[in-house]
Amino acid sequence: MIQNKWAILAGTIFLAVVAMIIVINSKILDEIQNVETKPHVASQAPSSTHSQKHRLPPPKEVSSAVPDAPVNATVVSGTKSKKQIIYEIPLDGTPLVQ
Amino acid sequence: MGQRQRHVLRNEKGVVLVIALFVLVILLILSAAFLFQVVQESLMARHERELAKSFYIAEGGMNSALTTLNTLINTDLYNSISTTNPQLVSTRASSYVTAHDGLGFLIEFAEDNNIAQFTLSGTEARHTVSNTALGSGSFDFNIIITEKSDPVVVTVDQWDFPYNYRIESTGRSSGLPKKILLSGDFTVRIQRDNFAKYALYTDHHTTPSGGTVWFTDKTNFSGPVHTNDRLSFARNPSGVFDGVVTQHVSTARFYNQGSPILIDADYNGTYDVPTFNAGYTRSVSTVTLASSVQQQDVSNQATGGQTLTGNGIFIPTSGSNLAGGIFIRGDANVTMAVDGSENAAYTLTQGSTTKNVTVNRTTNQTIVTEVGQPTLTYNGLPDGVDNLGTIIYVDGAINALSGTVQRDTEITISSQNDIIINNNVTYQDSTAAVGTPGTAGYVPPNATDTTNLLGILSWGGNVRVGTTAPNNITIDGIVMARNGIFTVDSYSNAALGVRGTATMLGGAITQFYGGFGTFSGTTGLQLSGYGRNFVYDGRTLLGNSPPYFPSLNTFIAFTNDITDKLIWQEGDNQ
Repeated sequence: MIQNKWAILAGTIFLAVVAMIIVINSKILDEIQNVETKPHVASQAPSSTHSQKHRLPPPKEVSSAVPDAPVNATVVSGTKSKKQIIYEIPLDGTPLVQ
Repeated sequence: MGQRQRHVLRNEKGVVLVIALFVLVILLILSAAFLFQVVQESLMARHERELAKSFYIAEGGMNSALTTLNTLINTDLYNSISTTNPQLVSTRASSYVTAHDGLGFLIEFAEDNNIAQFTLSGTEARHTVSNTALGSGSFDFNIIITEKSDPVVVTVDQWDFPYNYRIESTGRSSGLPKKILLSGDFTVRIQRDNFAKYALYTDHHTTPSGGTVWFTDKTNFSGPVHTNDRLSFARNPSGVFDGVVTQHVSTARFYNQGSPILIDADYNGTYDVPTFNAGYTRSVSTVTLASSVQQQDVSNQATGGQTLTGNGIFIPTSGSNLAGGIFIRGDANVTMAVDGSENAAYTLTQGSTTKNVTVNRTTNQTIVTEVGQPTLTYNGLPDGVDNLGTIIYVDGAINALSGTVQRDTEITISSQNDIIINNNVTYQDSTAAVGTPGTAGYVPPNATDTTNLLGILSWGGNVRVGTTAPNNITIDGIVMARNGIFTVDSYSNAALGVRGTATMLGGAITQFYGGFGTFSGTTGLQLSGYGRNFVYDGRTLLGNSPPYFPSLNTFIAFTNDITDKLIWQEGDNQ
């Protein structure tokens, strides 16, 4: 009868230790998993919360602010319809100075 | 101990199970330890990786800080000084020099939109930028300025403010910081702004008689262009402008197929279309063609303050030493050359008299030879009283000017009357242009990393390209006709034919705008003279100018030695 008690005690301890080690190992495995993924997660979180306003404007905004086609660059103030045009005396076709 | 208990202890049944379980526990513990070690190493690897990221982010921050420092001085301080009343700049600079307070000057004038860019912290001026995103992390940096030595007066209207700087850049990746320290020094110079900074400046953008001179597809300018008048553009395409173009008048003139119009616009439909690669702004303030350097000042530098009577070629001396520059009264011809020993050699001719002046910068001697006369050797260079650079002043006209400016020579050739360029004028060691101006692949000429600089300055006359000058002439130098024009003789004479393009590395600053050639308004074809290809000499933007060259009334502040001596080190992590 007592030897059964020893077996039950040993079995209980064994199961407890196994359960504990399984729990620990699962946590360790989680940590390993976490190590592999954390940098990506971390890289997104702070920049979106702290640094968003310091980011450069998207390229589209830059290109719209600095037109690269001079021909289209400026009709001053967009007041083409109100633009004053002063006509000078027509030239007579003689060579012009450059 | 009772009988029954002794019996139980002697009973070995179940022991194998206990041992087996015990071994299993040991194995599990060992496996847990192994896994723990793996985790630790992974964590360490991750830590190292993030630190490496932080390091490179910090390095990026350091480069950003260097760029920022350059902007703080060469943009913010420059703009602040150039837009401040010149008298106030002079007064404040003088007072900071007297008070030995270089930081005070920096804090007062390094502004952006009237906001001071540095804050005083004890004996330091600080500029801080925080939390700038870069890649998967961010960086902060501090630029810390201290005085290197007391500010000094260099000469009239010129001050030097020496500084040390230290940059602390911290990069962060996944919260792990890495710090980089960088230190160096630089000197801010404050001086009058210089006309040499223009590729083209005109006070009146017409011929002296009021005639229109047009920009066409044969007129290309690389560098700042300004007129106190209005610019005139003909045909499509018209000229190409790679620098900032400004004018005082609100409207531009367009050829408009022979019926010119004045409108406030960059182009005229599809008829007249110039190309502005850096903008065209009208209605800007005038830039007065007035200078703190006067004709008499330049003359005095050449004469060394001596009274020289009668016509002749004079090299003023005091005993065996040169006392000024080269002074010629009466008309003369001037040819520049480089002799076999790499010395600057000038041939000066007046009537039947020819003097050869050789300037040996190595021995600091000047040798003067003349046919039938003994060779004279003097100590010193013909660089004026203030030793700023070679000065040749002609109290008359220069009827022929040409040659090569020796690589170490900064020189101004100045005259009272006209200066006629009759052959190429070039810098030794400059890089020639490649390709055709205004077309893809064109590389303009440049004199970057060279020292030589030439000013061609007429106080009362014109600077003219003579009729005997070659086609496709090259002129390296900055031309100024204080009261006249820069033009081509007989530019409208079709009998001389089309002479190609006049390529200039430097700029032209004139009262009026002289013609270089003619073209047909109908076909756009060039009929006579030269096209223009004026390429700005970028060295003049940061204060370089020919010696004794006229300056604007306004001041500028700049530095060009921020990155000359960098000391870099890895800092402690925060």
